[in-house]
Amino acid sequence: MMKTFRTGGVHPPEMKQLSEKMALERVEAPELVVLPVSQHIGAPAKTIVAVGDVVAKGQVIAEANGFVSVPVHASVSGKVKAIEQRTTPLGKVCDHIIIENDGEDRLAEGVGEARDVTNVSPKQIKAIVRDAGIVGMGGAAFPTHVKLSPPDDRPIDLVLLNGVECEPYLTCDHRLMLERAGDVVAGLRLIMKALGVERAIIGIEANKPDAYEAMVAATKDDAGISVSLLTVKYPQGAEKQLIDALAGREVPPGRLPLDVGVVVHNVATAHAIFEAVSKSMPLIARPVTVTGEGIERPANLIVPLGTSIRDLLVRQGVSPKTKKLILGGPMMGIAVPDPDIPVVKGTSGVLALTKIPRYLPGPCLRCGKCIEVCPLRGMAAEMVAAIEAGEVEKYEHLHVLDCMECGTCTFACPSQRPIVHYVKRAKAELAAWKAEQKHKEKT
Amino acid sequence: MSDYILLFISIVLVNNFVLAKFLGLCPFIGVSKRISQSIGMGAAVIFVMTMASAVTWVVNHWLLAPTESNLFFRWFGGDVASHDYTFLTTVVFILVIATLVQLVEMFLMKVVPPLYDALGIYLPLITTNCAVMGVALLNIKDFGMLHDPGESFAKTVLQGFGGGAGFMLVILLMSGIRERLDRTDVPPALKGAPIAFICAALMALAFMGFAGLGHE
Amino acid sequence: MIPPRGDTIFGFTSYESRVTSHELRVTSYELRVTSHELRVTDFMFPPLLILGFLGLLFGLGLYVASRVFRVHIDARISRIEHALPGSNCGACGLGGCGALAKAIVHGSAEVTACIPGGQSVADLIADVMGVEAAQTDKEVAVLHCNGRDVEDRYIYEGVRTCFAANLLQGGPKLCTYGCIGFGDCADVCPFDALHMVDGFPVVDEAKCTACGKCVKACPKGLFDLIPLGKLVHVRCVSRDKGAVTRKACAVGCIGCKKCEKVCPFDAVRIENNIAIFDYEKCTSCGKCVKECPTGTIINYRPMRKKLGIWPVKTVNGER
Repeated sequence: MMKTFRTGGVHPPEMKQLSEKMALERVEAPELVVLPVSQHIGAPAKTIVAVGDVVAKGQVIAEANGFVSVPVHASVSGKVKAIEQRTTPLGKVCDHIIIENDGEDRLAEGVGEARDVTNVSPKQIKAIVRDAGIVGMGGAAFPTHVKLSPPDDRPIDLVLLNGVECEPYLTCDHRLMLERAGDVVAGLRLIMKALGVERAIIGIEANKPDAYEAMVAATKDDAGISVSLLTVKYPQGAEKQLIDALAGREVPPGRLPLDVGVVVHNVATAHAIFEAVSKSMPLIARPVTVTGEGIERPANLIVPLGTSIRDLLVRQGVSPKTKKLILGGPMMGIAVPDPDIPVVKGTSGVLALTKIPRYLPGPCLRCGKCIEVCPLRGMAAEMVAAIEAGEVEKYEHLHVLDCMECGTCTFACPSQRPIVHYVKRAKAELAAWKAEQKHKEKT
Repeated sequence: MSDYILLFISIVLVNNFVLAKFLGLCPFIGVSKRISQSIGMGAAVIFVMTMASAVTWVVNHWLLAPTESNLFFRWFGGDVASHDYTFLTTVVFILVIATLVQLVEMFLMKVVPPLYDALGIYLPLITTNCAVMGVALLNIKDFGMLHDPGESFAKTVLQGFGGGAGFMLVILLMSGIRERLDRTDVPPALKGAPIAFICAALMALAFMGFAGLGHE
Repeated sequence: MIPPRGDTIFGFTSYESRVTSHELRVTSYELRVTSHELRVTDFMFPPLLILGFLGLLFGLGLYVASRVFRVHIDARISRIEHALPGSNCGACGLGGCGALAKAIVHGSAEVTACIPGGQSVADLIADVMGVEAAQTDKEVAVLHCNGRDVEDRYIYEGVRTCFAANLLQGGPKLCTYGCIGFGDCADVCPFDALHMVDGFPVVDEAKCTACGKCVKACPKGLFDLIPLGKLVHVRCVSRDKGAVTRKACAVGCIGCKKCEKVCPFDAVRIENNIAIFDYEKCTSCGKCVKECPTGTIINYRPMRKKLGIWPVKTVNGER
């Protein structure tokens, strides 16, 4: 029997047929790239170039600012045209470095140099990963080197490689596993080496049998790595759910996977780690699925960071019937009002949707569907009731902060209530309230 | 033993002070807005009722009631019936209750100031809470004439405690309902106390169902 | 209650008493009732004893308890609490009027901390505290946006509060600095002084007490508390470039610097494409109002005169 996580979950229409047969394609660098210095969770990087500077491809243009921070590299060679304060799609205001491509494709010093993968120490791997600016590429964009350096008091005994790709529409991880199985597995071995772990499981959902075959073939000589086929269920790609499904361990609320001895990495991250270690290639491009009913030629692309979404839409052809643009998958992605925003390290997909269901939120029916499907066993209905009444002091007790905003409840709600949006708002409210409480205590 | 269990169930459910006898409605409506507050109020009422029952029994038994253990009868002798000071019941009981409430108030002010602030005026109002006075008077009526003083005392204290427990039960139920009411779309004219009274009335109707418990 | 022993119970016929200097001694108190003799001890003495004894006992008990559970309470706290308005609006930044009273007595808040109470309350509190209250100017909340007719740039389907909408790309309006229009400010106003008129907030300055709740509630920070005597305000906060602002909003500040040039008191500056007033210097002369090409700067004088809240009336005629 195939494994899956224990509680909750839903089955949204997969819609992967649009792009799953499209081989990965490298996108030519655009005229202009826009690189926000904050593409990850943690402190924004510090800009170290000035307007007018000439930069080479792979050159550091913003350096890490603290431990939970990563540098940003130029994804093209050319001249820094401007540095502007703009708002990222996630609502963070930070420096955006705009580089004009000179078309020369000059590589910065040391970038692209081959390195012997078998001969690097764990310490070296961590340093390379940090300097390459690699973050978790499943969407959360958490700096990878932090996840490779667990505290000494928490021994790690298992690495999970996340090839689940449970979001509907998205297929770039699928293609990556299929086409570059060897590289992905090599990246996984580097992760295991950096953590000093002997055992790894690669989790793949049953709707990608070809990727499963490819990964099994690539790991057949390696006793420490097994590949596991999982029942298709959303949100299996979420860290805690994947740990439950593959290792049968439950991460308690407010704790991290490393508290149960597990580290989870995405296949695209493993691939990026391999590229960084073997070819000294920093993270300057990433796989992106451009799909949806509004796209004429859905595709899986390898896109230089900083390319604008508009360029991708023009390249793949966008239908005038498009009503909604979403960055990421349809469940957890963010709708964006205009396409002039760059592809960043956390962008796994661009969706152009033509059919948006009529959206008329009604009152709560108290059917309990949201509670039934919540993979974290959250009391979604209770949360929303408290949030609507503005009872901020109750939020924490209702585990509002533990919600990962997977959208399962919103998907399942027969009354079409924007539950996740309520929770997002509650998190912001709670943060403001806590700050106020702290301030009050001081006076 | 079954006597005592029946007595407890009867005073908590069948003859609940708030919902069957309609005593002590002031704090019931006033302090049932939040569960945390009503727990504090319930605990205070349980304490005052139990203690008041015990102390009033002692006062009644040794000083007021025309029984053979009446101190004045022992000291001065004469006719037992002539040593009947029960006309003092009301004033003496108020004295006892007021003292106990003062004690609780001082205790809360020192030990749990937030609860003291939250209960506000309703805390001193327990003094005039008819449920407390009611339980004390009811005790005398029900058990004052029992021959065995031990049994009389035990039942009195149990009835006092049960009365408090019944109060706590319904104020907790009520505050749970009212916390939910806060989140619902109540017509503006009914917001606040009116809808609370309607709920209390419905709860009282529901509690009438317990009246059938005794007859089977 | 009292068992009948004769025809008249309180029918004292005679009694004798001899009072010595220090004690009251009742030597013979005889009560003559028609049928038989009854001594007063029977029904007067025990009640006195009961009440006296119990009173003494409980009094002592409470005395001991009050020593054990002693809490020092400053009498000024309750006096200040009485002086405060008691609406618990939270304008002082504390939990309520009770909390403010405590804070004032403990010295962590000023006597003028209650903004809605204004000068009169400040004077009362200052009286309790034995200090002189500084003169406070009456303030009102001023909305720094006038963009009633700003179009949407996307269809917003989420939770209909400004706070939630602002989390999504800064709200659905074309101008990301201006009013979103879901009325978070009107919802929090405890004085019924803010209303949504056609989806845009309007301050009723006659009712506004400058409690500052709207200032906190607005996710765009569009409200400011400004003394009532200041009559000229910029109704825009957009830091977008002039062309961008103009595209989004007909009444937004385009940063043309005309106001900066015309101001005789050097009270207006253009910073980041937006006119900013220095209210210390501004005399509300209204010259910039006439110059402003977009009508962003507005003179509140006529409106406040009509409402009768300006010029500010004071009891003793002083300004």
